[in-house]
Amino acid sequence: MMYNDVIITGLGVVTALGKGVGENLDALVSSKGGIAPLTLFATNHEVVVGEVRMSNEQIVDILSLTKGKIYSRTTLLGLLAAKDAYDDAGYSELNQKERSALKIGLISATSVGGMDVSENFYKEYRIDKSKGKLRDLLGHDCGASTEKIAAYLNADDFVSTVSTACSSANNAIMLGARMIKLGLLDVVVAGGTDSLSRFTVNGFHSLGILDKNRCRPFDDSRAGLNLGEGAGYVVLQRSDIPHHKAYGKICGYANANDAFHQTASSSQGEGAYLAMHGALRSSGLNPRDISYVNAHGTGTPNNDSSEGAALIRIFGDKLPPFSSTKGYTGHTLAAAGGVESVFSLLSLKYGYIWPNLHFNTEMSDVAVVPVKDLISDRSLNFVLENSFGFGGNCTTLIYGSYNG
Amino acid sequence: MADIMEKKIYINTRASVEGCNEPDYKEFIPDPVARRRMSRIIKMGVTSAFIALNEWKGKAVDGIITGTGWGCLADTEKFLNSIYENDERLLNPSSFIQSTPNTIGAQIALFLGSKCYNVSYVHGGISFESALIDSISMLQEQDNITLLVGGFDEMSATKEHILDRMGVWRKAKPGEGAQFFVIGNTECYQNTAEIESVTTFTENSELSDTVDISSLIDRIGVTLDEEYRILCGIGNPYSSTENMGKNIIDYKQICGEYPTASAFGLWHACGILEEEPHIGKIIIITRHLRERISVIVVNNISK
Repeated sequence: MMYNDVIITGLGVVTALGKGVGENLDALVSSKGGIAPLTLFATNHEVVVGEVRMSNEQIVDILSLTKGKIYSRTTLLGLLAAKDAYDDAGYSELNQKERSALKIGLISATSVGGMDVSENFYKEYRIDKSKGKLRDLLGHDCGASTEKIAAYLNADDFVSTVSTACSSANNAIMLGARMIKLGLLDVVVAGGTDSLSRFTVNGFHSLGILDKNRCRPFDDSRAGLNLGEGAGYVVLQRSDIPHHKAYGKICGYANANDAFHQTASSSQGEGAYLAMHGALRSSGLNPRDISYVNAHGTGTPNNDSSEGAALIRIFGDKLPPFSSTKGYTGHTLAAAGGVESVFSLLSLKYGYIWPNLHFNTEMSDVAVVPVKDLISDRSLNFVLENSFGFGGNCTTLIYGSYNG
Repeated sequence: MADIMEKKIYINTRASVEGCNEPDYKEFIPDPVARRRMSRIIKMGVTSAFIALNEWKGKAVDGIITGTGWGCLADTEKFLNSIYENDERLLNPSSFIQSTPNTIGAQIALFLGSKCYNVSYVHGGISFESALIDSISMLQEQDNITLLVGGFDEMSATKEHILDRMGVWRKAKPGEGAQFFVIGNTECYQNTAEIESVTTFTENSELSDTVDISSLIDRIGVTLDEEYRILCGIGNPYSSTENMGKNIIDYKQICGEYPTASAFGLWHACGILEEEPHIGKIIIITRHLRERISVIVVNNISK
C-alpha cells in the first residue's frame, strides 16, 4: 500500500497567553506566563488558572455568530482556534468547486464538552424537574462542539470527537494523520478544545492535585497542576496538495496504555515509555535525532516523576533539551495536545526551545533538568510531543521540519 | 472507505449486555470491592468486553477502541450534584474519576494489564462508527492483528426524563446497552461475518424529513444481488423501493433508542447471519435523533 505524506499547513491557538499564533508566540518568547486567579465563575476554592481573557460575548462578536444563541465556551474557544488554523492554511478561501474536489474532515477532542452550559441547566433542574432550559443541554455532548466547528468551517466530510482525558487532542491528530495516510481524507483540521468549568475545578480539587500557587513542572517543590482553558488545532494535509506554507510534517506517533491505575501513573512511566518508544519506531528515528521534547509535565508530583523516569529510559544520559509549557498556559486538558502541538511546530519553524517556567531545583527522585531560559536560533529537526491522561492513556507525536 | 479496504475485516467474536437483560456481574468481576466501585455502565461495558474476549481463542488483542455517545452519565450527574449539595466542599473524587468517557476502555486495559493502543470516541450517534473506522484503518495499516471494539450507553433516570421533556419518547422507546466485538484481518474458524464498509454521512439538518434508503445504499456503492436484510434504526420516516420493504427490520424496536444502538445492530446482524446462512448481506442504517446517518455493511463469509 502506498501511503501519503502528511504535512502541517495551518496553526490556530487560543490560551491564557492570548488569541492567535502571534500573541502566543510573543508570550512564549518573552517567558510571560498567563496564570492568574480565576474570574470566570465563583468558586469556594482558592485557585489560580490559565484563563482565556475574553468573554463569551466578545468571542461571539469576533466570529460574527448569531447573537442570542447558546454556545458553550468549549465550542467558542474551539471555533476561534480552528478558524485561525483553517484561514492560515488558506482553506477558507476555497471556492465551491475547489472545496468539493477535496475530502476535508474535522477531528476534535474535548473532555468538558458543554458542561459550562449544562451546569446552568442542572442547577435549576435538580431542585425542580420541570425547570431548566432544555436548549442549555443541546451543546452538552462532546460531539456537539465538533459539529458546530465543522459546520462553521465547512470541513465536515468526516467528523469525530476523541475523549481520552488529557491525551485526547494527540489522539485526534494521530487519527487525522492516519486517515490522510490511508487516503480516506485529503485535509484534516485536528486538535482539541476545553473550557474551564466548575465541574473540572472541583474534580481536580477533590483529587488534591491543584497547586494554589503557579505550577512548577519538574521542580522538586512542585505541588500540583493549574487548570487552564483553550484550544489548539493544526491543519494536516497530504503533501502533494498545493500549499503556500508548511510548518512541518508528521513523522511518527504512538498510543499506549500505562495499565497501572485509573488516575495515577506508574513510577517507571511504562505508558509514557511505550508511547515515546512506539512513536520513535514508527518514525524510523533514533532517540539522538530528537532536538527537543515538549513534555506533558503537569506539575503534579506523580506525573513529572513518572514522565522523567520514562525520558531517562528512552534517552539515557543523552536527554535532549526538554520543557513543559504548562507553566505558561496551565493544563488545558483535552486541548493540551493541540496547544502543545502548535507550540512544538512553532519551535520547529522558528528555532525556539521554550523555557520551563518556575523551575528551580532538580527533582530528588528523578535526575532530569528542563530548559530554564529561552533558547533561540537553534536549528531543530525533530520535536517529540507528549500528552498523557487519566485511564493510563499516553500518546506521543513526532514532528519533523519540512521544506517543500 | 470501500476503496481502501485491501484487507478483509473479520468479526471473530461478539457480546451483548443489554439494560433489560443484565448478567450476574459477580461471574465476570469477582472482586467485590472493584464491583462496588463501578457504576452500572462500567459493569455493563467491562462485562460485555470480557464475554467477547473469553470467547476469542486467538492471541491477545492489539487495541481497545470504544465509542459512547453519553459517556458515564450516572457518575457525571453524581459528581455535579455533589458540587451543589456540599457547596463544593469535601467532594468524593470517585464519581469525578469515573465520569470520563474513557473509563471503560481504561478499566478493560487495567484488568487485562493491556498496554496496547487504547482510544475512546464520544461523538453522539456516530461514536461506535468512529471506533469502527479507527479499527478498520488500523486493520488496513497492520497485518495479523486483532482489536477489541465496542459501543455502550446507559439510560439514567435523568437522561430519560430530559429526553421525555424534549419529546423523544413520543416516537421512540428508551434503550441502553453495551456490545463488544473482537475483530481482525485474518480469517479463522470463529468467523461468521465480515465488515464490508462503515460510512458516516455528512448531511445533518437537510435530511430531517424523510430518509431515502435506496439512495443511501446507492451512494455507498453496495450492490444487492443476493438475499439481504436491512436493519433500520432511523427514527425518521423513510422511503424505500417497493421490493425492499419486506427485507427491512426496525431493529430499534428491539434495543430501543440510544446513541450507540448501531453496536446492537451489528451484534444482531451477526446473529441473523448465523441463524439464516442463506442471507448474504446485512445493511445497518442508523440515525440517533437528528444526528448524522451511518451505514454499516456486513457480509456472510460463507457466501
